[in-house]
Amino acid sequence: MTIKAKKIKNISDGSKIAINIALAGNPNTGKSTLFNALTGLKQKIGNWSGVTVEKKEGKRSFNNFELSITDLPGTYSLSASSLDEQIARDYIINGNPEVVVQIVDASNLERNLYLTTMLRELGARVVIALNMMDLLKKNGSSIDVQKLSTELGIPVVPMIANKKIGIDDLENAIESVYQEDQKPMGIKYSKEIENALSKIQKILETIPSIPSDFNLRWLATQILQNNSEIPTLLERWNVKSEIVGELTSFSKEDYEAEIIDSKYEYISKVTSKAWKKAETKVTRSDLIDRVVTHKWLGIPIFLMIMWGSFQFVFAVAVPFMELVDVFFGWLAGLLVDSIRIEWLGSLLGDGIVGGLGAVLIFVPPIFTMFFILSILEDSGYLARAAFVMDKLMVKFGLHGHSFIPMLLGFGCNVPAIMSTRSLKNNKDRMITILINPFMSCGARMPVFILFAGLFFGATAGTVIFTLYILGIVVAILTAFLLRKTFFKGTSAPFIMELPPYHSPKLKSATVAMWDKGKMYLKKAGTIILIGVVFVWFLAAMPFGGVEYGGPETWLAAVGTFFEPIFKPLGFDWRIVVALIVGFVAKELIVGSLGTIVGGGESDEGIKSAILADGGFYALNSLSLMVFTLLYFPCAAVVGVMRKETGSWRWTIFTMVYSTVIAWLFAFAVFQIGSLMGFGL
Amino acid sequence: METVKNTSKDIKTSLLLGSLIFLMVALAEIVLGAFKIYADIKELEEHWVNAIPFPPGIFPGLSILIVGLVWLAGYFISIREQNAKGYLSVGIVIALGFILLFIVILLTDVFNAYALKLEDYEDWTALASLRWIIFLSPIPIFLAIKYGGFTVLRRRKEQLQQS
Repeated sequence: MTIKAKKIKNISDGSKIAINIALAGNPNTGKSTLFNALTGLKQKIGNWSGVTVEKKEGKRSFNNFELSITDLPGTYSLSASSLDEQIARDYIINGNPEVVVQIVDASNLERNLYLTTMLRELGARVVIALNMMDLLKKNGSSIDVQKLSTELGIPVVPMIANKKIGIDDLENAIESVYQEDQKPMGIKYSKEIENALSKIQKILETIPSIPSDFNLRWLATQILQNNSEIPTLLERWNVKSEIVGELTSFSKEDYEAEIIDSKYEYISKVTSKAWKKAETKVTRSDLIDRVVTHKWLGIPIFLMIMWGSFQFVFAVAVPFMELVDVFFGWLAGLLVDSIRIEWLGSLLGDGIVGGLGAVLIFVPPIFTMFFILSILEDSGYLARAAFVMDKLMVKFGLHGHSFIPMLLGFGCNVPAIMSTRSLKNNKDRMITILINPFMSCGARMPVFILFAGLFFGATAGTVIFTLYILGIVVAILTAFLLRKTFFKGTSAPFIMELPPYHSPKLKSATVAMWDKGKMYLKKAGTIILIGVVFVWFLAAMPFGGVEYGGPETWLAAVGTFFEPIFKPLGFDWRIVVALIVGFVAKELIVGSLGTIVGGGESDEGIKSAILADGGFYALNSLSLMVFTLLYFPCAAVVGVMRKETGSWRWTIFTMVYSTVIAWLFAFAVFQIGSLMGFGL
Repeated sequence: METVKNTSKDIKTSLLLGSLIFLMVALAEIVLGAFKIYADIKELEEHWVNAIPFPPGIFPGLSILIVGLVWLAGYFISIREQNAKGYLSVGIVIALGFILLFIVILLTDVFNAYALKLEDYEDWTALASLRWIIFLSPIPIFLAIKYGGFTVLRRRKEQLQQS
């Protein structure tokens, strides 16, 4: 069947022709880089309908066209064995993209073309963006792009996406594919399979409820391969059960393997004509990998890189924090002094500006941390970190793939938990979700920076690094316990592709930093704002005659009620209140302390207030940092955990378990420290 | 593109010497760093370790140690007649990375002390932020220029030769 092109309507009003583009490709082929290069900052991030997998959309205009580009999850195939594959496949079937741009790693042509065969089988009009041509050349290989295009029957555009080379040619190819028909893919299966396909197609043609534009050959292939989703799909179209039975009777176990073999034979035929592969040589990436994935050196190198990253974050952020601090201090002072209504001045100055200022001051370190993580990810090092950690993780019943969501948890536990969907073994996935809140997210950073900076001076960076390591250790030990008790069994084998090392690009890292960091800003404008106003309200009530944030307030009543539980950890009622408020969002801990302790209008103010207070000192600050690291995940994490585990039981278990663990660790820190003479 | 080849005698010697120097300095800094922590905890301002102009630290010492270990592993690989260039390069990159990091920290400290005039920096002097690895920087820089094949330097050299 020829894949028909959309005909351009005659546009006379000057408006642009909209083309829906789906961006598909294997993981680590530079898909995000191409998406960013095409769309710049014109991006919209949401979720795929019904699931919590991130969906990125963007726009680009050229000539008379406006491209609406949807970035599909990175997949190796469309067999729908994982949620990512299912999303990509469903979008191509139901989202009706007019053109699918498949980004292909030129140095891994054969493996990437497997997805091409699937896309074309689905009836998509495909343009291949042949990326990383520079690496291909470096490896000594070459591809005859014209021949490849002729053999595949689709346009192939050589590109170097990170240098924006080939973007114009890609635009032209999209335009031509949009306007021209595409020949069908030239895969011929064995006679037996072709006969079966033709019989199935004939039956399918008689079913009126199947949408007329649905690709029946693809459907027939899926039936033949015994795709478990097909009966449900046919039922959705009200296909009678006897016809479903007749259709599924065609499937044989051998067919799936034969169809895959035929595809690879086709790929091999195509590549043999167009691809001149260099002799296998040891690349620079291989030489580096021998060291960074070395069985003894790998983990120490990883730890030192993480330590260096935290030192960098701490050092670079301080001057910027000072500038933010000065601004909020000035603003709060201005409000308090210029508003004559005392309670309003207090609300705006102490409550809103003070509370928000105490949170926003941590934007520089959080953005810097995201920047560093993006650099590490872009360079290809994070994939090596997962590989290196695999050996350690296996001993605790997990594998390296689980370490990637754990690393992502350093940013935010919500997307980290969502990313566990790529784990195929359900037990592995459950364990990875349940341990993720122990990974210290960016929202806990303000507490660490404030107290480590205040009481641990020059060693603050090391203290923070140690806390992060403690989080990893507790997570791994918890995984071990879970594997030995509730989730017995062995983990799935760890197969992971190590992409070649790249020089990280400043722009990609900056865009990624902004994408991740803006969540923090968004929170500051919504939930944190409400939280600080709520804390201010409790700290000011009852009105008249009570000292703001003093022991007579409603806030003190709440804190005093719970204080006995936390006394052995060295916490007084004010810390208790801040921790309770932190259940909503961890950022609120510092914001609340700013409001309660006073001096909330500036970081220096909070610091001076804390130092002058007498209720805070090095040991109970350390205990507080440990408790904050490990206790109860925030409301957003609870929500996503419930959704991803599908179980309130496991969600509540995590909430209780993490809080108990946090209490025990903080207790140990405080009590042992006190015995050693580090108390007050 | 690197091909598999045995490591040259020069590289072997560099790996051995570089690793020995880094390991010795690292061990010294780690041990002295431990004394420094002890003196800080006990608030012993008159302790002899505080007289060292460039304060030692355990973690900065570990950053030197890791470079030394990578080069030492490279040396042992090279005497087994295998290609150890990756070890040399990774060691250089880690060393230069940490040197750069500590220079950035030094510069931000200078900024905090003199431009922002932060309270915490009242008694601070630039010597307090000079980490030991900075003094070792000539070694990785020399090795980078001589063997590293670092693209920028090599390309510049090639361009110069071509022109």
